Parts: sequence; structure tokens; C-alpha cells
Amino acid sequence: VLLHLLVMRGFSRSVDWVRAAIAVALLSALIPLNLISPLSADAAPPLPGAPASTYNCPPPGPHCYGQIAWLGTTYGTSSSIYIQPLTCGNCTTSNHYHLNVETWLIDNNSGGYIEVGYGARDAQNGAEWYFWSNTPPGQGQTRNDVGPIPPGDYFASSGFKMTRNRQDANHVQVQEWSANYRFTVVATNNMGGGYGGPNAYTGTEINIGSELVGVNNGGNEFQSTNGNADWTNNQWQEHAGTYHYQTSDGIRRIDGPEYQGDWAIPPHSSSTGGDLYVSCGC
Amino acid sequence: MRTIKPYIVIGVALLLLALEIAAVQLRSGGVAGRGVGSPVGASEVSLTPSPAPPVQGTVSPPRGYMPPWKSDTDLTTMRPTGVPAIKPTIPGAGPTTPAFTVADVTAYHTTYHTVADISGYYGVGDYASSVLPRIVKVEFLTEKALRARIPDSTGLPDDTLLCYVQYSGSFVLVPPPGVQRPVSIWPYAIEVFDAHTGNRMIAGLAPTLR
Repeated sequence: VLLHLLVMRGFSRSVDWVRAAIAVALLSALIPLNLISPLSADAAPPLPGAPASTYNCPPPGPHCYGQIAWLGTTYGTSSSIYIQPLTCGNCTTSNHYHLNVETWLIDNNSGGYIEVGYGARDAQNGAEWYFWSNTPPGQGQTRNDVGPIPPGDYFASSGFKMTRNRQDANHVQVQEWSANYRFTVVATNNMGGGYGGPNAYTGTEINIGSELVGVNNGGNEFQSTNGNADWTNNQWQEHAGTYHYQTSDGIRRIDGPEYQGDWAIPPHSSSTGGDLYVSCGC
Repeated sequence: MRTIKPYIVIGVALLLLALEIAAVQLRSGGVAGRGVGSPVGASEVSLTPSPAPPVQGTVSPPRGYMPPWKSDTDLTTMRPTGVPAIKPTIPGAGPTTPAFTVADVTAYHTTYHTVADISGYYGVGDYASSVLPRIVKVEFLTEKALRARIPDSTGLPDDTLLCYVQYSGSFVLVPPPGVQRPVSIWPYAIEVFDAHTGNRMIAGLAPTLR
């Protein structure tokens, strides 16, 4: 309107230059105030059904999970997981909070399990890294903080695999591989071999999903800044070197208010083990 | 004074507005196409991404890079680096001497393990403790010696100098859903650091003093 008045009345005097400059400045000032938006098409609200932005999963537990589980004996598991930025705003070591995106290989006969994935937790002040963790039957746990996720691995998928060692049923081979990083380790874990001899299977259950420990104090303790974690190429291992894509939709354990998720493509209608997304409202 | 044509003024104003809009877009991180999971170039991502507001959705992100299948017999591995923890204080330390002292370990412990969270729990290496953790052992040892003490290794060469620290407390191990194993309490937690970088390689729980 200001421009219109100024323009229609002509610019025959120098004072009109001043008015024109004021008009342009006023219009420019409206942009950062969001009174007008150059990107209004991107200002869509969160989709319906999104989880709450607060969460309550205090230590020591129970922890919060968004998981899919498959039951049945297996030599191992393999999945591709999309790497998302996670932040740990107010996180300190003393808070021992963490947010993991991972897979689990569990032996419910022995109570042993192994995990591999990526996460953000204490002490790194927002950085996230690859990890794997070993919990042998009847023993404590060791978690290996392998290293920070290379920048080039974000917004792409990394492969994660846990398989019974070919030579020794008491050990599980853990592998991660991506465009920029790869590690292979052999974990000592008696799952499988401890009760069934060298031909025993390693696991009785495979889980894929996310785990959260923490309490939202109104700060940004944790954020999954891009929304969804995502698992594809989900496979189980029948024998050494023989893998099969999952064809069952598994057991859904995405029941807390902190997590939302579902099959984007269910395994029963997929030739590559389905496509699971899990969103943490944290 | 000569009269200025209105369309010239309008053109200049629109040009200035366009420049302003472009500047706002650059400051906000880009334009449409950077939504949920849109792939971006590697050079655009940092290890400590800015806390952008979460975008919740019900769709799966674009795949981006998909790693090719890796055989069980492909044992390719890179050297693990661990995560930053203790800051080295001894510059130029040789391969057989640590780059930090026991006092540095104690300072790290005091800073990070002795402050309770809002639930009243302390923590060491991700493991919550209902009582104040205390250091009971600090030992510099090689990777080979470490393997004789705990079930797993750091993945570093045998002669790598490490720092093994054991803490007393009442540490909680919470198994994931589906595991037929109760929540358990452990009297010790451990951390293993690279004695030169100060990075933490391992955190864990132990039943006895090792």
C-alpha cells in the first residue's frame, strides 16, 4: 500500500526517495517477523498421529522401545539402517541418557544378547557414533564405542550384521559397513553354544528398533532431528552363509507414547524384508 | 528535478525483496526438498548437527546410499577410535607412556560421574547407579592384557596402551523386551580408554574387582 501511494503520486521530489526507501525497508522487515513468508509452502504442520514432543523414560528403567521382533531360531541377522542425525542437547555423563537405533540378536534359552547400531549417549555432547554391545549369559555387559559416524554416512543406510562364528558357536561375529566406515569384531558370547553344542543355533529372537532412556526437562535432551529411523533388507540366517529375507511382519512392540512406527512396506508383501520406520517423539 | 518513473522504483523494490528472500532462505538452510530424509551431500553434514526442530512423519525416508551385501567372510575392518572422554595433558607421550595421568582420570570422574540426575541416579558410561560411584582401580595396560581381564577387546592392536578404570556402585542392567532375564544390579562398572587419545573405547559392568 505504501508503495502504491508513493508510486501513484510520483517521485518528483527528493523526499519521495526517502519514502520509497522506508517502504522497501518495511516490507523487508516483515520477512524475518514471519508476517509474510517466502517459504510458506514448507510450513506444513507435523502429520497427524505424531508422538508427543515430551517423553518420560527415566533411569534406571524400564527403558522405552519402538521395536519389531521376530521369534525363531537363527544363526544371525542382517539389516540396513538409515542413519539419522540425533542430538543430545543437555546430555551429560551423569545423566546417562541415551537414544539408540539398532538391531538385537537374543537367545532366550540362555538370556544372552548382542546389539549393534548407532546412538547418542553420555559425554559426547550431541555427537553420535557406531556401537556394539555384548551381554553374555549370566554376565555383565560390555559396550564398545567404535567411533563417531563419518559425515558422509548421514542420510544414507549402513549395513549391520550379527552372525554365529563359522568356527566356534561360542562367538558371534559383528559387522557394520557403510560408504565410509566398516568394522568386524568377534564377540565372546556363549549364547547358543552354551546349551546345544557346536551345531546349536545362536539366537531365538531378532529385534529391530530404537531404545530411549531419558526424561524431557523442557530442554532438548534428545532429538531425532529428522524424524524417522528406518530399517530395510531385514534378513535372518538359516545356516552359515545362508540368509533369507524376513517374510513375516513380526511382533509389534511400539506401544509407548514416546514412539510411533509401522511398516511402510510390510515384509509379507516385500521381496526384501520390508521397510520399517520408527519415530521417536523426543 | 527530473521525475522518476514509477516502474523503475517498483522494479528496484522487487529486486531488493528478491535478494532479501534469497538471504533468508540461505540462513534457514535451504529450500524445499530438504524435508524428511531428503538426501544431502556429505559435505553439508557435520558430526554435531544443529538441533533443527523435529519433523515427525509417517513415511519412510528416501534410501540414499544402500550398502552392497557384505559376506560373512569379508573381515574388512577399520581402526576403532572410541569417543572423546579424557583430555590428554602430556604432550608428546611415547607409545609406552600415557598422555594423561591418574589425576586426570579422577578429574574426569568427578566432573561426569558424581552429579545425580533429576531421578537421583548417578551414572558411569551409560549405566545408572543408585549410589555415588567411586573409583576403585586405575591401571594402564596393553590391549593384550585387557583381553585376559574382560571378555571382549577394543579392536586395537595388542601393544596399544590403554587405561582401565573400575568403579564401585550399584549399577543397573536393563535387558530389552523379549529377553528372559530380569533387571539386575552390578557392583562394578568399568571404562577403558585409549591412553593416548583419552577416548573411551569400552564401557561395561562387572561382577567382581578385576
